[in-house]
Amino acid sequence: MGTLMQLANRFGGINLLFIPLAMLFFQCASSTKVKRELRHVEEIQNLNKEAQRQYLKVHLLDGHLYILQDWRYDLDHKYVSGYGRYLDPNRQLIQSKLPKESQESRRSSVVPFFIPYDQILMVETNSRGFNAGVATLAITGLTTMIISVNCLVNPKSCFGSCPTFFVPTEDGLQLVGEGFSSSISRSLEDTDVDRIDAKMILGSPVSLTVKNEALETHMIRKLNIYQAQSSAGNKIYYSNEGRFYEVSGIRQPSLATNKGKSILSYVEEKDELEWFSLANDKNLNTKEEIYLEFEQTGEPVGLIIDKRQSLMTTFLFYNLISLMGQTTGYYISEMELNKPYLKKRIEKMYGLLGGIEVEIRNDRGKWEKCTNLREAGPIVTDSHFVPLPSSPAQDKIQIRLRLTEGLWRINELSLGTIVGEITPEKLHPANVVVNGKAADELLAKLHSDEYVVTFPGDEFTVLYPSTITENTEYFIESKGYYLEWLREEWMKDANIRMAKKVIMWPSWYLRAMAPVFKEIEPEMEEAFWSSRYTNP
Amino acid sequence: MKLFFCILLILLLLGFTNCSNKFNKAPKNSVPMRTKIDKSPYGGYTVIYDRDNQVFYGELIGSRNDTLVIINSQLHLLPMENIASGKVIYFQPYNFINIWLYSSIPTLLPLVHIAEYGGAPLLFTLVASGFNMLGALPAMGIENEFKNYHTFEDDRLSFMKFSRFPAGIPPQLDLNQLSAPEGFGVMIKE
Repeated sequence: MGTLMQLANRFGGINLLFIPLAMLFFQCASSTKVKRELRHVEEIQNLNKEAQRQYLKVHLLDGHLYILQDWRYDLDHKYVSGYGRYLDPNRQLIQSKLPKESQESRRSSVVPFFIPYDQILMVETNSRGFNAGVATLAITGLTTMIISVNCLVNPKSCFGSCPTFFVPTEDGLQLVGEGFSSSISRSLEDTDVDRIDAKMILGSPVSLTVKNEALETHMIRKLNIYQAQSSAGNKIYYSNEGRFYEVSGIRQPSLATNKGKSILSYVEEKDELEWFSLANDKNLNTKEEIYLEFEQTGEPVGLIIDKRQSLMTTFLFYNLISLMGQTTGYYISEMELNKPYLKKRIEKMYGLLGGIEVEIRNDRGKWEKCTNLREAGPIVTDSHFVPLPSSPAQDKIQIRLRLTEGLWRINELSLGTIVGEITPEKLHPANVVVNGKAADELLAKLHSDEYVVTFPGDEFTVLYPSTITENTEYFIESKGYYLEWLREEWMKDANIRMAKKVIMWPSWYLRAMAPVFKEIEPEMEEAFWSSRYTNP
Repeated sequence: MKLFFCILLILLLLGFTNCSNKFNKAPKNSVPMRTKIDKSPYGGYTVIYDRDNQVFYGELIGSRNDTLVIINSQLHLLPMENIASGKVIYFQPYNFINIWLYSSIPTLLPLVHIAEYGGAPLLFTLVASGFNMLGALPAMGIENEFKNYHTFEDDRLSFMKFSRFPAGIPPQLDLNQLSAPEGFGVMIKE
């Protein structure tokens, strides 16, 4: 359901459900009736133009009938010719001549029927009518087909993973974030801050609906909201270092290239187009670069990056779990209790894949590293802000992004002027509602250090002591981790020796998995990102 | 979500209001579907009431010497002057339920993940096929608006257009040699 509504929202805010409604209103105007037209053969040229493209029934004086689908008439020599069927008065087939033979055979052997005028009593055409409602059915059918294929190849995008956060909008609940995607065990517990990018209903209470839509156990320790006022037209962003900045004068890059090709149209603003590349087929740990140029203004500025991950990490993680099979639980508990080095190995794998390294060309002409954005999660795009050191001696602000091929989806790369750093107000949960009833026990847990534990299908809404106001930005702060449930089908591929090798040699794993991932990547990406750019 | 259900309700109401049934039903395997009417060599399915209130039904063959000829398993020659009323049905409406079912097949694909994601894929399938049904409603409504019959008493010219021999039965044709497809041998309930 969420996916359908999301898709509806992606069509410029037009709810797809309006299409059948609109079609109903316009049906009478655009549909045409069924008509039969009968004429003497001498008037065959007066058949309306539409009829001349349709089947022609030629009624003969003796009761026989030709039904021609590719026909012509010759006024001078007075005959009708064409391909089709010749039937007796009882409508039994006498002869059939098909028009769609190969060009060669049509020329050499299939001669059309030639019917002289003097054998013809009447000619007939039929307009089958046009049902304008078919267009609606085609649109809805195609839409659900695309979504279904997407859900087949990437169920996480449809049915969720990690805690997913929704906020109420005029069009219903809108997915705005996913929490702590890479926190796959307690020791990897993490805090995640997601900017809410949705038009929430002014005057309504600040609320967040949390869903567990995957076969996972979610352990949620914190769920707060940051709210911050900005001046009209300005925006507030969260940086990798945990700071909030008010930003004005957001502008597009004058240049954005990857492998010598412009990607500007994909990253110049937050819209439906996302830039992404495909993974390397020899080694998943292969880096690529994006170069950006912005006009120099001399003001303090920062880079706005709106991005999400591809399905590569999901694939690698699931594959590792399937190799560990039934020992997964054992290894996770060992990682928590006795073997902390296992955690380091897992982190090493994520580390090899890396984040998005942001570098700026400084006044000495050298690339200077600013930050490394690492936040995981393939479902919802998240905006990050990277304050940049000033480089007044450079005519243009030049930025280089280094990232793993095929790992990231980038929606927007723009530059904003820093108005100032701000301290947002932190809102703690005031109420928790489950199935319309207050859940004080959950509320108490969110205020303490205990976990709210959710299972597949669980859903609750958190209300905060504030209302939605204009020129206010909201951010979700979530802390916790999740445990992936082991699927029966994963047990079939268990290979503990291989799993150990993966843990000990993550760089080998990224090389070994490259061809395996490449095999499924095209279908996965094509279905999921069917309308988006791919860089082969 | 409220908006979703409001629109759903409006669509259902409009869709069903549209089912004003301008079409009449003919027996199975008698007349073609609307989209195949241009290829059908037969006459329409007709039901005739004579002045003695006798009912005749079958394929409308045509007229010869002020006699209307219809045929089912046997030939009926009905003097025009003795006909009280009649109707010829010349196509069946297109069956969009089938199209809806076909269009809903892809929505079953995510069910392969039901073991992993519980009821969510099933819910998706139900919602998506319901969405397709919404898409089919306008087509169904419009299909019911296509007029598929003419009456003998109101418009005899249009009525005769939908006979097997619309320009009149050729004089040399032996009527006893004619036969009609099986579907014409069934009487419809009015």
